[in-house]
Amino acid sequence: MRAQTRVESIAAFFCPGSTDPDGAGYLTRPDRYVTARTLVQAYYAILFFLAAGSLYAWSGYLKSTELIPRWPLFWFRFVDLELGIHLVLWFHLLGGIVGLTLCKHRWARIVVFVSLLEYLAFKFSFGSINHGDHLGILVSFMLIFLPVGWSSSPPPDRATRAATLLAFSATQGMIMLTYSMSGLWKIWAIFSQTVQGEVSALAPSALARQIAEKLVSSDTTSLLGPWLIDHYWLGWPLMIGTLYLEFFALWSVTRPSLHRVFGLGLILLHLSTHLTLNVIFVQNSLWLALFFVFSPFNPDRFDWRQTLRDLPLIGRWIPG
Amino acid sequence: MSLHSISLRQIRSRLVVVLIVYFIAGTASQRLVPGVDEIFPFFGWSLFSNVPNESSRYTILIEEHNGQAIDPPVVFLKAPETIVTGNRNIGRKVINKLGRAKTRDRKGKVKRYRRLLESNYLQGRVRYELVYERYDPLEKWKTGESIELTSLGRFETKVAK
Repeated sequence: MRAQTRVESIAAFFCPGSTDPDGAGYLTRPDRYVTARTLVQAYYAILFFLAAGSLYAWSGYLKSTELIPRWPLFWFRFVDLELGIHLVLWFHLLGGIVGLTLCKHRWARIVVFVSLLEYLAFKFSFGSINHGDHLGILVSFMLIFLPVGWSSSPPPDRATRAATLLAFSATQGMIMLTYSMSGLWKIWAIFSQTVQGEVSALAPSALARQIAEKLVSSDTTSLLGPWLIDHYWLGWPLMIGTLYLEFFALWSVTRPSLHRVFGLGLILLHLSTHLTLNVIFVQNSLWLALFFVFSPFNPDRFDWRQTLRDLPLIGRWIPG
Repeated sequence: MSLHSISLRQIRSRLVVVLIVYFIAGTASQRLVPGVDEIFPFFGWSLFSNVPNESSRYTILIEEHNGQAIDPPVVFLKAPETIVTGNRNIGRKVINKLGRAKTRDRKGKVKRYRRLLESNYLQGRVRYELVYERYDPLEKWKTGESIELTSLGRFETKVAK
């Protein structure tokens, strides 16, 4: 009885809204557990796909003669460069295979994380970091915390199901934390630029300026960017929508009715930045689809009133 | 069951701590450590935060390739594949870092970024001019006009590949 109370209190922590009528079922329902398990397994399958897909780049990487190694490659100073690159590339592929076949073991998930850390550190040692790759490694770190027995079939005992869904929820938290951090800096920049008398993100021309700067600095164009620069006033609601989605992304983690809405909203944001700024975050869209659009915590029945009520700032004005 | 529940609480605490640590370390790695762009895999996620009222960039103008003059000189991003190789977008970022190091007179960093640029993104014997440009993004997009265009010097790749 006491144990049940604890599970319930933890469930309440992750579900402060009135969305979920299940109480403790939020973290223990077998169908949710099965969905989470399947999604995590899909995640490791995708990592293998990405590792195998990177094989085409090996020949180019192996020709490298000069790089500025990131800290995880500190050991490069002790080995021949070509040998070091070989080791990183093979370890990445091995990590993909280990994740695909042995992800039920914590040590295997640690191997996957380290292999990604090494590979991405290598990939980012040519003078620039691609932030579109970050979420993949952060998710792999969070999934290390899955409990023993998380992948068992049939579904394990109640406590293991709860621990699995808790780790899954925390992984969702990590994903949305990155968006909220991005939103936080944008809000901060609005204050600092307004104080300095500059055009800020609240100005109608803000998005047009961002697009023009990106296209000029990379000497390129985009499908919708030039059109949006000419019709800059259309960019204003997009900019406000971006600020809202990003800043409150973390809020959505504890409100299951918002998982699909925020997941799809952020995927649309990535599509629009691709079409306007030529900034591509394809992997992020994939992780958002897996962890939010198909979230195991999605309500059984979509209740748009509940979804509206759970929205930050706006929700309080929606009648109950 | 009771033991499981206790560990569940511990898991929750650990996971929350992980998120807090990432927030602090990510913010610090991008914003608080002078001269460091970020400490991978930590990142502050400040992307497109400031609206560019005025912008600047560095670029290189390629003037000569394998002893042959290129007239007019061609910018890095528009140069033919016989001269520029690899991922141009990353090469562009290396040029920006090289330019910043040159402006700040950081000789060690200039040497490192030149080696990185010339080994990975240029091929053959290349003579190029490093240029600093300041502009209003909207004006630059519409008219091509810059506010300032300054040469930071001319360089030549050390060894032809």
